[in-house]
Amino acid sequence: MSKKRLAMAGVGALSAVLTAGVLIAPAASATGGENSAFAIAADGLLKVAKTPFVDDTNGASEESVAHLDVPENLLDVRALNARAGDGYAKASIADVRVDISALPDLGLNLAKPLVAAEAIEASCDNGVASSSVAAASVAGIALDVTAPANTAVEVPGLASVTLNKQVTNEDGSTTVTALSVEVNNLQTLDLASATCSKAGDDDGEEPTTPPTDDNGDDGDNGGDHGDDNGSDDGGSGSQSGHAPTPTPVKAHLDVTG
Amino acid sequence: MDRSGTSPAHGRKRSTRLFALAGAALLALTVSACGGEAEEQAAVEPAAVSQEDLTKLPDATTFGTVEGAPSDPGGESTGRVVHPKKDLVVYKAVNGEPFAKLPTRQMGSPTWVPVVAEQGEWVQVLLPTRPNGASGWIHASDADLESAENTFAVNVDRENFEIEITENGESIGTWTIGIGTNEHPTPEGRAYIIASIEETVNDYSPIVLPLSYHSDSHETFGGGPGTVGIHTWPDDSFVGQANSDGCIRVTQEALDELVKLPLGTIVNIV
Repeated sequence: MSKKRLAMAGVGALSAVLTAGVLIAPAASATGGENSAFAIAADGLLKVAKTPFVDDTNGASEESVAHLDVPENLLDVRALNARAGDGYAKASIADVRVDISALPDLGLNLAKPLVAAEAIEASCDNGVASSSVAAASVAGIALDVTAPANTAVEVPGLASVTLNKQVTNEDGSTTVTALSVEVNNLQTLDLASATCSKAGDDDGEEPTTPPTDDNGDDGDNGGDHGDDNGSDDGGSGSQSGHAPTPTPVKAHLDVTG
Repeated sequence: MDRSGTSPAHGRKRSTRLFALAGAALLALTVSACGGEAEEQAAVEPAAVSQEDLTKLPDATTFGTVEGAPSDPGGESTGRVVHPKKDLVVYKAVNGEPFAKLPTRQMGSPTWVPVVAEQGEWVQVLLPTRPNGASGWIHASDADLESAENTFAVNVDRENFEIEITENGESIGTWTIGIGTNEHPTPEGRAYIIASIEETVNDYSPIVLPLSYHSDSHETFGGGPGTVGIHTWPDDSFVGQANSDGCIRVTQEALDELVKLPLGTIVNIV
């Protein structure tokens, strides 16, 4: 496969992506919520808008894209997922293969894909960020599953590769990007990025525990839970109060009308 | 979200410990299949899952699809719901292969899943993913799992356009509903309420209760994954009609009662 052909494909790929409608830049994201996430974004010779992108402007939100590929194997990723809500965000992506080094203008000459991974995810919860990668490599160099924040990975010929990139934003929120690559000031690639602030109310733990009415003391208020199948010491789970009445949470989900 | 096929190495990696436990797990499964007592096998601990394998596991949300998940075994409800306080691994069987992670939230609401079977310190729970009726086992002795009793259930009778709430098996209310068209039917099965949404974009219902089930005919719907929901409608055109895209439309009066039900409440759709 010649480099010239691939260069042509790069252009074609971009237009194909745009006409497919999958990657239309999410206009609503411009204002943005405090909490947001996206699975992939690229800028430079290959442009991929943040996909899928969600934020909590309309409350809790989640989106998935089953498969995203760019012709000529420049990019092939699956199971892209992003979700965000009050005080949390998470992005994940699977079966990642990015081979944009085949674009000659990048000045890369890599024998291996720029990025390959079975799975990549980034999570941010109440301002605490983390990320991990599975079976991941950059230009054939294997990456640690988990890495300290802002771990630089030396890859000859690449300007910058950062694993578990963490940034504190001006508004106090935290952004974690599992894998961030910059190539010769010509191309950036971000995989699995999550931004969150501390939850607006309380401490990020939703109102899960307070049972509805009748067992202010924690749980084991006699009654009728002793019959739960008699398994040895009742050790399964913790206590058995009444399940709480849910508090509706601001969110948007298109159900089947 | 199908990532279950990406980690064939699981079995190999969990080598010695899994081997040691395999006998007990098999025995436990056998007993479970017969519906008998299983206390002797209760002490089976889950095999360790490495961070790398955890990363590979797909999240069990309404946007997810899991393959190889055991189907809802049916039978009587245990009347129990559980809430993971952190992401928990979901296994195909007691000490079986991990295939998903159950996150702490579903569309912003705390995750509560109904327990459909118990075996010692393990519980089999229904999942909010595709395919409909997907379930999985989680290890319940973990301090990271909160357990509660849920005495409520919902019955949806499509033929008679009726929804009923029961408490301790006793009916506490019935209402006439609307259901999906023949082309986009409301799916049959044992679903549950996964979240309580104060809808911020769609204005047909102030509260939407998404269920664990998905439309068989709509792979996606709007921007969502075809999740079937319970909600009201701006007018009465739905009452006693099969004219939705799969959702269960209820009157405001019914919704006012349904929103009080705990998350994880079973919704039997027949």
